[in-house]
Amino acid sequence: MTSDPAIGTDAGWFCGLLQAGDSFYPTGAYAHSYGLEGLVQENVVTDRATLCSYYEQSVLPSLARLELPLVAQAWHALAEPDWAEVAEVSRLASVLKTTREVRLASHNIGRQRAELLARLRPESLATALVARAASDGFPFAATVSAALEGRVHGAPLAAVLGGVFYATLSGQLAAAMKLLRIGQNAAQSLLTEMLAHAGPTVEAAVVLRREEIGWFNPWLDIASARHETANARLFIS
Amino acid sequence: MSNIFEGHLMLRAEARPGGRTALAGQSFRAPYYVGKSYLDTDSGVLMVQVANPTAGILSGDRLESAITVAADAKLLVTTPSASRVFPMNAGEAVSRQTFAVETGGWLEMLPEPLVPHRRSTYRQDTSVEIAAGGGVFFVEQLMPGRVGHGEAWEWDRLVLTLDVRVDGEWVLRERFDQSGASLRAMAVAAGTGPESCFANGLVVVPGADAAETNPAWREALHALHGDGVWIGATALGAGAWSLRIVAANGVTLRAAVQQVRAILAEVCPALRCGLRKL
Repeated sequence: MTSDPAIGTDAGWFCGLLQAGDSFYPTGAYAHSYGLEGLVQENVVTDRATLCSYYEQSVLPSLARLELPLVAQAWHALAEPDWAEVAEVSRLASVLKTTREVRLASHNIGRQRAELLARLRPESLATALVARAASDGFPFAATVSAALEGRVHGAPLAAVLGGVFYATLSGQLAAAMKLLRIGQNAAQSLLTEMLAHAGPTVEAAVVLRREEIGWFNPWLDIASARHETANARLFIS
Repeated sequence: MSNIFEGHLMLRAEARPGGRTALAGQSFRAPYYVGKSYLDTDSGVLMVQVANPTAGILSGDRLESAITVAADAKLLVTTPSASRVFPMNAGEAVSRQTFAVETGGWLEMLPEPLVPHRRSTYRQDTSVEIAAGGGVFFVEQLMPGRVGHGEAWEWDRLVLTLDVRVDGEWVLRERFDQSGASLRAMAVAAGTGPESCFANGLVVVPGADAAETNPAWREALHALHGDGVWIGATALGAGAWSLRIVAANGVTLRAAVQQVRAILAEVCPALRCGLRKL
């Protein structure tokens, strides 16, 4: 089993990433708000302006200093692949999730993405990763599975990180549209505004050393911890 | 003569025959100073104050501490005053601290708050290892600055990392790396006010079911939420819990931590040890 791309052309990997990032692709990610619903319940995020602050103070820093660096580290580890490194990055991805529901979300989405890819492309690296996770006992992680998809589709690192960046922003907006009175046009204008941060965010992520990976917002963590026991909620996390 | 400190602190608490806890080993070098310990006979907890007789932490300071609680010993470590990190024209101060609790041991670590002053850069790496059957209540508090002087959120950079292992299982890596300005922006956005204070806690209840994800004490903690206090507890795995508190000011934070301590005393009897006796 190697990390040779299943699809070798630019159009091939591009389409592969589009498939993996499509809301039609069954990963379960749509069921999670990653703490946003908790902040809505605390009346911190109430409209477009406060949602913009949430992106600037939580979503973008988390991408730059937590999610994207883990994807980059996993992408490198999967090149050979170096399974000890993959296991280490997977464990790190797990312990860096500082609330239970967000950690479980990463585990479940990571498992779903890896197992789905293994079913769709049984001769690929995905099958090996699923087997290694079981035999070596390391947890699945959404970030590692995103890197896996990039490797299987033969996508370059910048494209993989850009895909995760876009999917995270759009996924949070999809959740926000269910939680707030915000329309399609306002959502798209906010998304456009935030996409301007893609270049600097990806550049910051790829140079971060492993020991420097990590980020949390105390208010977001508290909202997420309280959301775990909320009497009413739309999202799992 | 250099004004830079290479601080060192080592404490080891052991249970003597009959169960009485005593310090079996201690060593320290400025700016650390260990006062005379006090045994709370009601709870069986040995209380130790670690003081910094200098003004505070300065650029270039390197602090190392290692505290171990041996099997069946019970130790509370606190400080008599806040740890102030002074303004720095250049450089940084670094602290590395390790805590180990052996089977049946109990450690409460409840220092007074960290107060980073304007233009300061401070890094603190903390490692906590708890053996199966050990217990911990570990709380660190952060003030936004010298609020009484109108100075808040003016530090340059604060890096706090925390690694937690329970029975050999790595359950948490936290990395807080923020400028004062970025934390101020978060506080404003969350609406907790310009003097918001933060407490970060770790709880391991001795003998508790490690698979339990919603114990009664959590509901009691969450009921403290409101009236200027944000509080949330979440399970980390292996019986460890992360606890975060944000309060509108230092007085409210102190009161909230005391309330948390009282609630957790129902399941951690060692927390019945009165801090006032120090």
